[in-house]
Amino acid sequence: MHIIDCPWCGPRSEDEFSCGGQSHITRPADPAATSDTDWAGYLYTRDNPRGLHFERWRHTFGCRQWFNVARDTVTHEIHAVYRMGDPRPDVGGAGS
Amino acid sequence: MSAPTTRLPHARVDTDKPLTFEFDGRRYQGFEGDSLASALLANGVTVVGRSFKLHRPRGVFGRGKEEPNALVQLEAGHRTEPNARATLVPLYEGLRARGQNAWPSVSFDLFGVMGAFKRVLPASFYYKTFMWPSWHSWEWLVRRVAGLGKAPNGADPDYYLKQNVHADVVVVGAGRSGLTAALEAAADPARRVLLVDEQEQVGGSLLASPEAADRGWLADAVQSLDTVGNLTVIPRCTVNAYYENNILAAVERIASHGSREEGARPRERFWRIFAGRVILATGAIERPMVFPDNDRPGIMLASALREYVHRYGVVPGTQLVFYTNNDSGWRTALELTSVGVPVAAIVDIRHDISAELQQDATEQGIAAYTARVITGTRGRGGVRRLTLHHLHSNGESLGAAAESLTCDVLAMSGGWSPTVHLYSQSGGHLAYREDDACLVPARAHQAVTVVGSANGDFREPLNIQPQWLTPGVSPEHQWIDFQYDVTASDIQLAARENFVSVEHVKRYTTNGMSVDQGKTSNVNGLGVLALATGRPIPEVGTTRFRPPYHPTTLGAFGGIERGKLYTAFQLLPAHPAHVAAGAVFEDYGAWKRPAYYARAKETEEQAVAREAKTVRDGVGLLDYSPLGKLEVRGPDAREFLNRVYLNNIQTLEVGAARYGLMLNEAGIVIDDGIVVCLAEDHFLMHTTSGGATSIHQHLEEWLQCEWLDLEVIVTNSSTQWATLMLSGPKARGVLQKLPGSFDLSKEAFGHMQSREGELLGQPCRILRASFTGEVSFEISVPARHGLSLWEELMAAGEPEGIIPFGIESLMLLRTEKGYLHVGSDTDGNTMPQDLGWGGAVEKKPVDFIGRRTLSQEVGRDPRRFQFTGIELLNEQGHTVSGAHVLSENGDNTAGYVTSAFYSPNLGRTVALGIVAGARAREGEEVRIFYNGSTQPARLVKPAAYDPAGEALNG
Amino acid sequence: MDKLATAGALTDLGLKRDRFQVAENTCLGLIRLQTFHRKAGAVENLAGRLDIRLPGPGETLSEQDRQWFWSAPGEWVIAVPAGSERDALHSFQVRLDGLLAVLSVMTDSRIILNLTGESARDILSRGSTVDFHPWAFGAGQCVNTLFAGVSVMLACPGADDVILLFVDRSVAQYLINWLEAASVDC
Repeated sequence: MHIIDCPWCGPRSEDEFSCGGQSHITRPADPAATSDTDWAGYLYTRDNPRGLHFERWRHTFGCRQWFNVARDTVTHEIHAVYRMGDPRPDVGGAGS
Repeated sequence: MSAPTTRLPHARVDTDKPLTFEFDGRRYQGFEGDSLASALLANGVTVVGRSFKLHRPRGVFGRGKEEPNALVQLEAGHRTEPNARATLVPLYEGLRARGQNAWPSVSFDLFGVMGAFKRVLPASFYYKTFMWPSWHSWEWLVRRVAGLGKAPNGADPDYYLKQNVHADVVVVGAGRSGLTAALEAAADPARRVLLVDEQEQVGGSLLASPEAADRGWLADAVQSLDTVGNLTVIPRCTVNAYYENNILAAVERIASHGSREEGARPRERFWRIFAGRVILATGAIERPMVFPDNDRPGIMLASALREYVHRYGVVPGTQLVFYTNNDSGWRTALELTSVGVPVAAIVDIRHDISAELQQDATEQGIAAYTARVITGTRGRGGVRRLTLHHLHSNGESLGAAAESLTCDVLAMSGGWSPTVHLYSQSGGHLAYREDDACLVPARAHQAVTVVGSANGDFREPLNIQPQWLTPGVSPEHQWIDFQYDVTASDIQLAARENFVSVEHVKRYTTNGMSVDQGKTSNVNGLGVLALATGRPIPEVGTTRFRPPYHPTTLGAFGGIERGKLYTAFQLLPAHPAHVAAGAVFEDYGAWKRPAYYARAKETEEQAVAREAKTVRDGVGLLDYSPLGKLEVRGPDAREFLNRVYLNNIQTLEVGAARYGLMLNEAGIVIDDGIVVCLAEDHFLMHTTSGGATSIHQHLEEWLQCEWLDLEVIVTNSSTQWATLMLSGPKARGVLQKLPGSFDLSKEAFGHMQSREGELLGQPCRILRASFTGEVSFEISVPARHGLSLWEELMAAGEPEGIIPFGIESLMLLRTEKGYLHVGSDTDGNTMPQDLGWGGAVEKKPVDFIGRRTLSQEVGRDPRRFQFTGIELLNEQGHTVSGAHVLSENGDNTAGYVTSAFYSPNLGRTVALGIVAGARAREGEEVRIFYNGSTQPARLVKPAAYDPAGEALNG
Repeated sequence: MDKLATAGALTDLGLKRDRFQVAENTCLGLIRLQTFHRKAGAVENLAGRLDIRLPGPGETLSEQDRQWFWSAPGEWVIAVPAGSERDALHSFQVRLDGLLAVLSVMTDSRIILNLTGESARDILSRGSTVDFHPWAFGAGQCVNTLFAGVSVMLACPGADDVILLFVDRSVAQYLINWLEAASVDC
């Protein structure tokens, strides 16, 4: 079970959060000009790393805010928590 | 009843408080402070259970959680508890227990004949034998013969709590090491310290020490616990799980069986413990010796015998013999003689034993049989005689001459296994320590420290010579796992069949898989596997320990959240009025909403038909409050909603309302509703009742994660407003009777318009939209006035014959009209082109969420399931939602009926569905399959009633 | 009748045990204030116009007869004397004119429960994983959390050991049933 350090509310247990999957996925700027393949990739292609994973979580039962989490999928260790729109931090280790 | 028993004077039982109890139908007496196991031993009850597979008679073996044999069915009826360890059940007046897995009793078990079949019941016997024709054809037999206790039949009459607790330091185990660690940690008053211990009283193995120094130390420590304000002790509480982030799960026993508190206080409390630092002082568990017929009643762990003698004052025999491979067995024996309990002999496999121990033993009159192994035991109903052979110094071969020794209690000490279960669960690594032949904590993964014997600190050297099984004799009857009847030969068989991984061997043989989770069998099993595969133990590795450390009741997991509190429910603002009007409530999401209002002798169908007909002919009132109401404000609100809805929001004028469909990025319809423009920068989105929260989250996700620059603020005001839907040709006349600021005339307030004003002195919003097909007013007032508005409208409508109507009637009315209900008439694949919105998509000049996916290959498939009306060709026919629409050749499903009602207004069944390619197949005949029969139908336009839509403009 | 009646206090929504009591608080009206916090300076501008220090995450503070509760970034709940919501809302609107700030009356969507008694914090820890020890949750603090399966806001406005629980009015009956079951031993 995770303890997640919400950027606004501080550390809370996983019960209060929802995971939104991989983060840093950019919506194509002009969907109409995007190929079927690229659009399908945007919709469905996701990393599934063993190790460091950048994902987004929402503090559903707290401040309702989305934020990013750099989490190790093997050890469950959370290396960094940062706000939406912030760049991916350098947390070392094997990145995805 | 047996005669009262006497106890040794230093025992921790209160002989002034005798207790009467019953086991297997016979009455006995024990004392306050006894466990069921100690009381049974005091009464000379040697056979307390039967083994799982072979029904071998078994006696008390351990002293606590490690007990594999003395599992009893405690009490009867709804409170019965299966697999209760007699060693853990504190004795109380009137206790009733039965032995398990035996018929008619453990001392005379008709299935005991199974034991004779040991040879044909090796490991994997079930896997290999019951394959043909299938496991299910054998299951009934196996379940009867092999098994443990019986689950209660009825509902659990007790209640359970769950509680969370945070602490800076959590100490698990209150023996000498745990008490020391807890008191040290609490020396800093800024720390919150929690000490959790599983026994009836704190003290751990100190409770079984006869030494005055130990007893004094414990008494002092207990006194200190009470005086330290920042230290909390939870006794009778077992930590069962250790998760990431130092989160522990524990179960506290509160009201014991038979206590005065039973029923009045919670049975158990499930603790979730959030710890800064964890100190594990979980002690160590003694290992049995492995030799032929080592499972006979009367053979127990030396540590167990020590506990029964010193803590409970029970000497369970007259011919006490020890069998050991290390010094602790000798020390335990000498401790017994120190209080005057005679020990007949010590058998030790070692050649080299300290002269000091040997001399002490001689002085105490203990016969020492060194360099001997036990090669057999005899005795019906209990051990009576041992056979010994000389073990050569190579540790492998035996001398030819057999010796014999009488004995009624055999105390084994095969070494000690630190209780590393929680440490292993925490992610900590274990290492095999050759010197003490045990697994010890090696490398922690979390903020955890292990102290005392749990860390392999045994205070005095063991000088152990491991012997994983007895050489030179058959491994057949050398028990490793007593609970699941696994012997050394079973593990050797697994190795011969090329099971190499310790995890595979565990599952193939079931070693360590029973309710004791291998507390006494794990390391011995590893040793046998190491020998059989010719590898050292560290190379064999160990199985990963998993929660729970000790079995946990389902009641504790459930807590109070069962029955009516299983999940949260929501009540409508006018709930009391619905109750008074005879509403039949159903759950729609979390909401308790009237499905219909039953009058005397009406069936559901009759009530729904009456309500639907009254709305078409007169007027009805429905509590529509769960309708989602999201307010979207800000300079970019219009732009944002234009991206959220498929429909064009750019052209929506102030005061106007428009139907909108919402897609997710995969093009799937997720919600629909009416969106109202209240001001240039202020919109009111209505969502389906189930969408109030999820669509709010959907909007926030796009604003927070994708379009961070759009200046938009969303407010979920769904429950701030009570919304009542007044519908029917007489609706306007009724509403006009209530004083307010609204001009309700057809000319001033047309269909799909919205107005804000005052009604009966309260702020009010009225939306003219229609989900029934009749003139409808959706009237919203602040929720606390909802009940009053309901009463006012019902009173105003009385002359018009107004009735309250429920959700089922609303669903019938909208089905007659062919109005889509997202979630009923759509599935997880429905796209707007399947609903007739393909043209609108093409007309919209800009992008919106999900648009791009609609033109992917999946969106162009002509066989997509599409929304359609379904007319049954047989006028008397009926169908239900979920019925299949068959493909042309009838061998497959090509759609479903999604809504179906008998229409009182049309005198026949009306139905909607999603059918393959339906939008191009209007007028085609199809066949509908339901419940074994088929009937003909035709695909038609969705609206069966008033297809021109004249009624709603009235 | 020419005026809609207000539903009375949900009077049976109370609970009295030896060490734990629940009573509906009908003295307070509630207003939600939201601003577009992602815009630089938005929160500072708001505080400047209102001429107060706005509470930060996890804080509540009192100002005259109002209590401010931090609810989310750029979002506060303001408790005012019951019945004065519209006046208060209007006075805020005047001060905030021209700023992107949204004010909504939310009194009807919530009930407020006063929790008292020596077991109150124990009961809270039976429904939520937040640390309710007075060292961690004391005067001037508030939290939004998952409690008994529903979203709630909890606050300790003063040092008087009264804990306020704000919850959606539609789940009030459920929550009272839950509190009753969870406090049988209190």
